[in-house]
Amino acid sequence: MTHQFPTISEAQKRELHETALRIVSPGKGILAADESVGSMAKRLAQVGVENTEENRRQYRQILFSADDRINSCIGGVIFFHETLYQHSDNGVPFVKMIRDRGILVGVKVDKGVVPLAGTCGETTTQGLDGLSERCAQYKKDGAVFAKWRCVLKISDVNPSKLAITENANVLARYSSICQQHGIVPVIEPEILPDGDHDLKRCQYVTEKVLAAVYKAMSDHHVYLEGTLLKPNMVTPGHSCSTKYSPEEVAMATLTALRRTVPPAVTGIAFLSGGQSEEEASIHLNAINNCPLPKPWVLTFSFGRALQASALRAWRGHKENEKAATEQFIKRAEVNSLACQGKYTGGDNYGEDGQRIYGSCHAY
Amino acid sequence: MLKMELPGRRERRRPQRTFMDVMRRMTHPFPSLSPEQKRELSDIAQRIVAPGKGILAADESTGTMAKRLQKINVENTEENRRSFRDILFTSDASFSNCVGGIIFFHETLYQKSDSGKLFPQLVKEKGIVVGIKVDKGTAGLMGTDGETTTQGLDGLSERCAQYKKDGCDFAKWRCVLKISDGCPSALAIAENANVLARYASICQQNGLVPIVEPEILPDGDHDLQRCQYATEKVLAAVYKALSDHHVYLEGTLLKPNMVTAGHSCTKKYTPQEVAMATVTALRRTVPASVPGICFLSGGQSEEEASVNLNAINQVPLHRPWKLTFSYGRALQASALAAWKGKAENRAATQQAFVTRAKINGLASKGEYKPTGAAAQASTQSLYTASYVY
Repeated sequence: MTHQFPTISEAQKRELHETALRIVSPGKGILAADESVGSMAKRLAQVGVENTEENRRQYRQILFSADDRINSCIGGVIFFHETLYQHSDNGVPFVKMIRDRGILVGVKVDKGVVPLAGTCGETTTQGLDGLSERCAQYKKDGAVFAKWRCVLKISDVNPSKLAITENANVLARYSSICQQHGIVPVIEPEILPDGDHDLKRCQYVTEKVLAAVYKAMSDHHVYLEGTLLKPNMVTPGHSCSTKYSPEEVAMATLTALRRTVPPAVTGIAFLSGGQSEEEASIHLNAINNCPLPKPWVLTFSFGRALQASALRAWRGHKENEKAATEQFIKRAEVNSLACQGKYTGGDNYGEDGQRIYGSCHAY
Repeated sequence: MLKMELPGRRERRRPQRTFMDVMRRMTHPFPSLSPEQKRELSDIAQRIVAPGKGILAADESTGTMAKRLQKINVENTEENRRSFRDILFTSDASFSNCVGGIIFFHETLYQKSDSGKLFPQLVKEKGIVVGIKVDKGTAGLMGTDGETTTQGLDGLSERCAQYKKDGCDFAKWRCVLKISDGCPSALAIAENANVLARYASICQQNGLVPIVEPEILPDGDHDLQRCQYATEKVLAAVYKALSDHHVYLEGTLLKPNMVTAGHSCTKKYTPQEVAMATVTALRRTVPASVPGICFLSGGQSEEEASVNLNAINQVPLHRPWKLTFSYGRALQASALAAWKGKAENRAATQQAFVTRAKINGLASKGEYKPTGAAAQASTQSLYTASYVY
């Protein structure tokens, strides 16, 4: 029953832990540039660009050719499989471009969501088949961390017990396999913001989901110090009529995490979900200023919230490339400040004096 | 089942509970505690583990006191039990700087000091929080290798309400697990975690902070690593159960074993190794929202328990909870030895107790510097095989 059989060696643990620490070094977060071909179709359609392999390559090049200013803001970049093997116009592999700046390379390894029969539209995520061999290859090809996204949603009947346990289990399997190959697993149990539920409901669900995730991690003997968590912030549903301040979002988020994420987890890098670039930064900043003790680093792993302006500036035109890259650098710098609680900007949010966080006992 | 009066026409028209109604219960927060109740529980917990303070576990049952008193050739009478507790509780006021809470046994809660004052009142006047052991001992789990669960849930809510009226603000419940070839089994882990969560939930409903005690016994020849592994599995299960039962973590305390090698293990470990294994296990399992972790002393001698606690508070890893003591034997052994049941030994008894209390207060801040000249009773191992309350 409770005999410890060897999982990974001390040296392997050390390597994983150090990698995780480097990704979330002070002031740094993750650029999630791992949009699948299907997701890129949606992004590119919004700016009137055709979804070809070449266009995807050109677009990622805009991000990766940012100058040294991003070296102190970005600790890791998550790649999509295709991008891992693409080059710049000058023939430099993207992986090399990123690694040469001291930024770590990650790869999305899941194979998308599949439905759970008997549930109300819920899913699990596939991709475990041959994952061990794929991880070994990715490690050779320069990746030191991975990402796997599970999706849950809130409704009258969701998330169901099955969805919670099944997604927690598959995340733990994925993590275990990654660690065997010296790859730090980024664990992403995203609870979608769709719906009209309030902040409290999201907090409650987030606590239940994360408790299940970490029980599964324990059951699968995952080495927590060599993992990162990529959760949703706790926010009301998109159609919720009540508005909440960034401080309320921060309190609810931090309270949920403090109740469920063991201190041994090296860092928490939030996904941005449907938030705008500015919203995501303001929230991250509020979270880092929240007066509750935080035993882990709290930073970003943003996709749209780092790229939206860059994408809009580009619109597929070569002459816009530099301007687009500037937009990306700007968001990277803002989020670097936000993950240290030092972001004072923000046009849409009232006074920038001291914020009121209120009592923690209401959460 | 009670025969209820027949529902009127209106009630009969109410629709049956549907499957969807049941599903809806899934992840809707139903009210458990109000913000005021949460604040009260959180404040009590913070007071118990205020900086430099820990818990005196004076909740030995009658049977356990028999063993203690027998060792010093004192008869196990109600008066002798009262007398010993009286000596401890009336010690010099300075001990309330190191003791944030005292756990009582039921009998003691209704006994009086020599001065005629009820013990809970005496203790509260010193600014110390009163706690009460509420479990009713272990019960065997059929089909396991001598493993147990703990009973005491029946009528627990009513008992808690009464204890709250009688001056208690926290409670304690002890579960026991052991390490051997086949233990702890999945059943023992799950069952004990579940019963701890039920107890915790009921306590909080009645304004009592639950101290959650999943003790893994030190019996056996297993090494430090094995104990760490078992401790991680047990605590992961405990906190999952607490989550499932909607327990408010900010209003609880944990009373775990330190991670140590088994008593018959041939390999010896330093306090630093014990400390590192302990803090690592806790960091991997105990959420930061738990305000305090108060270690049990198990079979450790008084000095060992203090030195280990001190080392724990010096481990160079981030520790988001208070790490302090909830000691029984490790606070009282010298005091008992000094007392020997004789009234003229009162001062010596109190001095022995206050000395240990102060040392552990320092250890809970990582500030204890042992001088090396420890009293004989302090270093004597307090281990008895297969310890049962």
